[in-house]
Amino acid sequence: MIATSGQTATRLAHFFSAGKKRRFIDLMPWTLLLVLATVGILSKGGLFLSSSNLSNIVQQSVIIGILAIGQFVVVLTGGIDLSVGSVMALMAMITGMSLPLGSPLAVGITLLAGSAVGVTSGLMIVYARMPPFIVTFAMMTICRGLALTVTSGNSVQVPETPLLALGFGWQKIAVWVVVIGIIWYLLNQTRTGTHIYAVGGNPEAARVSGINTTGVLILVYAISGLCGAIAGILSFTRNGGVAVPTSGQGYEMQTIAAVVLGGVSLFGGEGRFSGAVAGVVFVVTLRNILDLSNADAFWSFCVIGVVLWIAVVLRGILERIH
Amino acid sequence: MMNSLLSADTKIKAPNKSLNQRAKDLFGRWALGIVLLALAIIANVLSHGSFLTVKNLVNVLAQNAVLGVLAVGQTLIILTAGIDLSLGSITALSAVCLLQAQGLGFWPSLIVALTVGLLAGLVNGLLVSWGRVPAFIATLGMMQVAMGLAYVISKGFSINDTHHTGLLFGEDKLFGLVPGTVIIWLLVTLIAWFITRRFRYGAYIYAVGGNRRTAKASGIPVNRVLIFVYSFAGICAAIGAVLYVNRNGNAEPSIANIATLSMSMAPVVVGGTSLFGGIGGVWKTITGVLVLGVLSNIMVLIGVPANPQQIVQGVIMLVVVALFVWQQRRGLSH
Repeated sequence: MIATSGQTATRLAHFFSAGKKRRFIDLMPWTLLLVLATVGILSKGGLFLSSSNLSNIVQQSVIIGILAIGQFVVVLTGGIDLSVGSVMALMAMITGMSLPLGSPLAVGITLLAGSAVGVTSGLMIVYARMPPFIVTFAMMTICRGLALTVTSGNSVQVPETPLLALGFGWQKIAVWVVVIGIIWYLLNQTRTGTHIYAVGGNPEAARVSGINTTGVLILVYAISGLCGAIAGILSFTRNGGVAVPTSGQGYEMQTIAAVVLGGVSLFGGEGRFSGAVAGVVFVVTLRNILDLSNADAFWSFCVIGVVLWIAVVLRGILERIH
Repeated sequence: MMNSLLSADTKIKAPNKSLNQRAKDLFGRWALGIVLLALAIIANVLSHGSFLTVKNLVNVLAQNAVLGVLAVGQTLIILTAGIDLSLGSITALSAVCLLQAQGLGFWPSLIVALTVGLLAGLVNGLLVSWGRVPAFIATLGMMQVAMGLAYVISKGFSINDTHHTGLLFGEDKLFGLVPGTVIIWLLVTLIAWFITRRFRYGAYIYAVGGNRRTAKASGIPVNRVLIFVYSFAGICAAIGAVLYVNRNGNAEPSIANIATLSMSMAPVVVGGTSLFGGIGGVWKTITGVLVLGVLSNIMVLIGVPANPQQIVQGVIMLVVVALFVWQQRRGLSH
């Protein structure tokens, strides 16, 4: 009898502490964002709060935000995509080069190419059983090499095209909202979404319970490639119709930092969509405050790297405390 | 315990092997050497006989010394089942620091560069061990931090070696032939070989890579071993930086973007060290570096520009890792 009540107590304690941890990690990205915004307001005052600056933050969040959504879906399965930045650069080049065929066709080709890159990574991870970080790291080099090769290192310029309207103002934000909507629906309202979480939580259990784990894994890398393609089109249009083969460097780290800051577990299966979006806004706001402080642009590389470390270590400590 | 750990990665030999099996083993052991020889012959044909000359071969060694030194550090890390994505960036940072400090004189600036490399490696090691951060995440962060610092310190410009800091090693040639850079590469390899094969710590490195939990349970100081290998690799990157400055006469933050250096794990896996830890060694890595080096020489001879070479390197790495995983799985199923 005593043993049973003891067990119940343990279970209850476990339940509550797990719940607390859950709630704490869900709140973490928003708390951090609030702290950062306070720092921004206190140090930069009106400059930070000005409507032009706030809209700047939202505008700058779009491309990183779309890449981070792809990264988020991959990380949910316990994988990682180090190629997002180079994929974006390559896709911008492809958009620029295929524009003479007409805008719709160029967009179609880019989206296809992006998913093809993702599917290739996914196939290698699933069928050759290679670690995701090695596959996507090699993919990062290959895509960067391809982006540099197609024009021997030069930029592609197509100044006049109706597609350019996508890169500015509400249109750009609308693209982000649509991507967020689709992926949110996929993750929270469909069976596939549940499967993605299940594969990340315990791949073996997921496989045994009849989930098509290979399909899920290929799908998430395809989604990430597709997000890379959309980000590539946006980066091409934002630059006024110029695709730069060296663009997107360090984006893989910014997206990973955003996802981890958003409370997503790097080991898969855990993480909320809203957290990932908050993480993106955090990373962009951090960059914005550094810009406003007239810091050397390269400092942001260092700062975001350090923030990534702190986020991963902190999350690990939280996991172990509870 | 020492001995059992040391022999952990050598295969258990069956008493009576068929001749066929022995031939297969022999081929397996020398396969990469045969590939290297074949590539060298191809290069020799393509260059109309000027590849296989002593002078050119020494040059090939000198060309690959920077990557070679980085790959030695990377080997020790991969032996512990880790990975370091940041070695190219640490090289860039150390090279920039070396030449920023060149006014202080040769030895002080050398110490500055080595300290920077050591500190960067130490941070990696602390994050991976005490911080329990996955190696590729910790070093991805360092890749950006070190690159960012290199840009901040140099303000984005290339720094010329006006004090000839890098040349102190390179001027002298052994037997009037072998440049100092190659000697240093071999020395670093030799030191790493001594550590892995002749010291207890080396056995620990293999044990941690073989099975971290078992290693911990058998009382091996896993965290200290990890901190050691990442710090060692950081120093290797700093030595690589000195060799780079020696060869190029300048340092620039964009060294971090050189694909061969940031992919320093490629020669390690080509050489036959397992990405999953516990199997391999530093001498294998030298063969790996040479295979990739001769291959890039062949690409230059055919007239492939630098950018497509980057693609080829990525593809080679994928193919080699895929082959390795395939071979291991086949080995398990038998």
